[in-house]
Amino acid sequence: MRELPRNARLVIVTVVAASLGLSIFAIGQIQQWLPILVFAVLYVLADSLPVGPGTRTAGLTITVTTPVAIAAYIVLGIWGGVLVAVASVCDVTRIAPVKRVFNAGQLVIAVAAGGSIYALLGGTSTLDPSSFPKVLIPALVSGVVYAFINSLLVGVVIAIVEDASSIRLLRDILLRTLLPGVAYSALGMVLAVLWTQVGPLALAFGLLPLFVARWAMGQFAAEQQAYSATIRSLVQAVETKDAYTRGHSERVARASVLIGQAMTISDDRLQALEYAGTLHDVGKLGVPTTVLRKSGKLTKEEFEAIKLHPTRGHDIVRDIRFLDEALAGIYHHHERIDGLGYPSGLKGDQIPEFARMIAVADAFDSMTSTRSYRSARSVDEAMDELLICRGTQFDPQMVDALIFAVSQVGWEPAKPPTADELIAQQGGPVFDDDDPLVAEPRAVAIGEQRAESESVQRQDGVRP
Amino acid sequence: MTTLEAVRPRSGSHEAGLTASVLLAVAALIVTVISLCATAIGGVRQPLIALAFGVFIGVGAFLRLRLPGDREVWPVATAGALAYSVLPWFGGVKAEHAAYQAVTVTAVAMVLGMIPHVIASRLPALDLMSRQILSVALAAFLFRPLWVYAEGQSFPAWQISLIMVAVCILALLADAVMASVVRAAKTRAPFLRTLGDELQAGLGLNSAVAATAVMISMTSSAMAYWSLPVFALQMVLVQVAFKRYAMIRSTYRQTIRALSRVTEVGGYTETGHARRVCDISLAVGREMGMAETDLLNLEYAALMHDIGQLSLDDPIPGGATVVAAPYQQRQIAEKGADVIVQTGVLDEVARIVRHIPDPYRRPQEAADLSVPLGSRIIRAVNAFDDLVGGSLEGSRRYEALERLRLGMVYDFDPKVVETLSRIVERNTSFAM
Repeated sequence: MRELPRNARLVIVTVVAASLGLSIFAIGQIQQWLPILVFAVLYVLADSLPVGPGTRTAGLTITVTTPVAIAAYIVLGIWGGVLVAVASVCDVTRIAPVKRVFNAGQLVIAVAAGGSIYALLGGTSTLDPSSFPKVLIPALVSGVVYAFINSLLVGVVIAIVEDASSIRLLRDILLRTLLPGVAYSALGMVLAVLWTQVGPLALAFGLLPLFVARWAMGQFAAEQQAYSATIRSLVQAVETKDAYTRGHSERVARASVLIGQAMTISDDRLQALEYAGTLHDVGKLGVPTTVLRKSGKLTKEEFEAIKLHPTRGHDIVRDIRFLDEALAGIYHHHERIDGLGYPSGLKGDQIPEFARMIAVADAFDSMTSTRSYRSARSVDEAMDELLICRGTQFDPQMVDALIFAVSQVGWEPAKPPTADELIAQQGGPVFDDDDPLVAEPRAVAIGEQRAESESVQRQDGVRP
Repeated sequence: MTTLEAVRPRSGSHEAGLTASVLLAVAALIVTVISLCATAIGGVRQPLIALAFGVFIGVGAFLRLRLPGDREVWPVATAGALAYSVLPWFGGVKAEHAAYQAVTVTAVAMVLGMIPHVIASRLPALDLMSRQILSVALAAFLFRPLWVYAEGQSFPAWQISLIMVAVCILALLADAVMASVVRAAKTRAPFLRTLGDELQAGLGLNSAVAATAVMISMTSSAMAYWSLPVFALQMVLVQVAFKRYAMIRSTYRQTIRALSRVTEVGGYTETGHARRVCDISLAVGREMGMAETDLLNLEYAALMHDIGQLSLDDPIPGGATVVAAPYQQRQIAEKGADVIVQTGVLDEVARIVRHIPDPYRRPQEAADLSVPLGSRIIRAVNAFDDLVGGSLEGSRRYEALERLRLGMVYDFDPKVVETLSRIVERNTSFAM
């Protein structure tokens, strides 16, 4: 509690005090305790059932408890509902006491608000054929009010703690109010009907579909994590062929995500971008180790083989259906804004957005990594180099985005290979296709000599 | 036709599977026609209620969903159809429709809901529809006569809802039995195995379907038409959750399939080798009665069995591990397994890959039981494919099989070789 900002503490204390007052008043209003107990037990059970990892990260959060709370104030009235909300303190999941008390407190206030609106608009506690459709308006409106208070109180505290902007706070609150409010109050109403028509046992039954949905979302989240882990480690494992480029794909994925975040693309696309970054060099994995590690000059054929890697990578992953946008990113990540890249020689906006992001991330990681023919550049030097190529090789927007992101969160560059690793692999690549400090496909295509002389000039230019 | 297609057990390609589907469709058609006639003669009772449920079922049939394991479902339609079959009251009035009317409404709505798919030239879910009509008929003919009787005795509501729950569960079980009969016939897997898989795979979604069906009927006694949109909403929520899950599962499979090509692109293995080994191994595993979870591990292991070759400096000529030295075979398997272990979620797959070079048994010793069945299958199928390659020649296939049979005493599991021969012989007969 001490480490919370002062304003957050103020809100929490106010909420808890107000809810305490409401609860004490509620105790005096109750004649029948048994129904309240049944609802309270159901609420705590619904709150405590395990749902698997990462349900929150999955984008679609399904709450089982909200319909129970709404059904509680419909069936038990305001004061009964308030006491059910108090019982939520008994949540068996391990959360900090402050959070636990605040959660119960804001729930008490939301239930009291929802219950009052429901009663004010003429909602009844028993729902039979005569109460439809006139109970619909009170139920839906009170549900929206409930959801509003709930997301407002939680949102304000989170916004204060995380120092978020008020616009984002407002957007989050609206997002969590209207649609969920209507949906959950409809489900709460159904639970209330079941209570009246069939009896208390039907309540547990009524929650089953929501539990199943939540379980499926949990499975989805677990599977998604497994998926990321799998492609990351498979790609990484086959990368170990070359001590110099080890971890390259993962770092490119990380840098691409930084760029994507700075460009504020949606969560789904960010996920796809991460996959694209991870898989961007998958075509290189199949290049025989002898070619990759050859010390001495590459023949023209060998260089052409390496140039083929975006096409090969595309061939490998094109059957993965969901990767649509990521696929274009992989295929075109060696295009240049001035149209001199490969494989298609696209220009400017013709190059898919993902490819423009990955190109910058790719070059950035290559420059900040050690190569057999040069030492690693510092992050600042690499950013200067990106600025030089801004608008010719790279999309200016993406360069700015990466520089902005790195200045905000920093960057942990690749570690140079250890001596043991180098002895183990005997020699290293003479050439890195991703490296803007040497890779000039245009020049290499004309003659290797010129490529080398240009690269020397370029390196001199960067040196302080 | 390539070998790949010839050997892959395609759905419907087996006569037994086709027969099962046709029988099911005929049974469903008979039930539908009888119900239609009865409805035409007796007239539709409470047509507005029938229409409301018909719309619910029709929309649900439009929202098809493919679950992992190639299972087509339409949970919204199933829930609606079952709810209409076991409907006791509606808006304070007794539901008077007979069982045949419930079947008629279900069948008509499902056909209408499928029309947009047919227009978009997607395959209609004929198996699914036949099964659903039959299981809904079971529920309706069990419950509706009982309801007439029960109402005379005036049972309390909770007892009636228990009966409704039982009827719905029975109908869903019947559906699972029919689905596994068809699947067993199509894939030649043992029936009890497919039934087990079916029940396991459907448990989560079907419990939601049964609960929703009963709740729709119970709440619509008070809420009348208002309960339908509420539960439609809830079921769509359930469906979205399952759809996301199914999508990431299929992405995972596609990705492993795609990454298995890395060795081919690099010239380490022959084009299509990993996929061929995978498809044939799956056919063998299925016919030997492996469970679905084990089959998935077998699939991944077969696809990635050569991934260890990437650690070799130079490709083995032709990528055929069957001609590589035993030491090298073991090295490839070990490296591959090490790579797979690093994912943190595929331990069983890594175990299978690690044991591929292990012979079925060593001289003077009993069969080595620590070698997983998956490894034994991949070992034999890999050798078969290395010897045959993509060749379509019958003689090469028989030579390869002969060589496997010779190695049966020690190298290869006789049961695996037997099953493999059956599959190869069966498929060559109509591939040539």
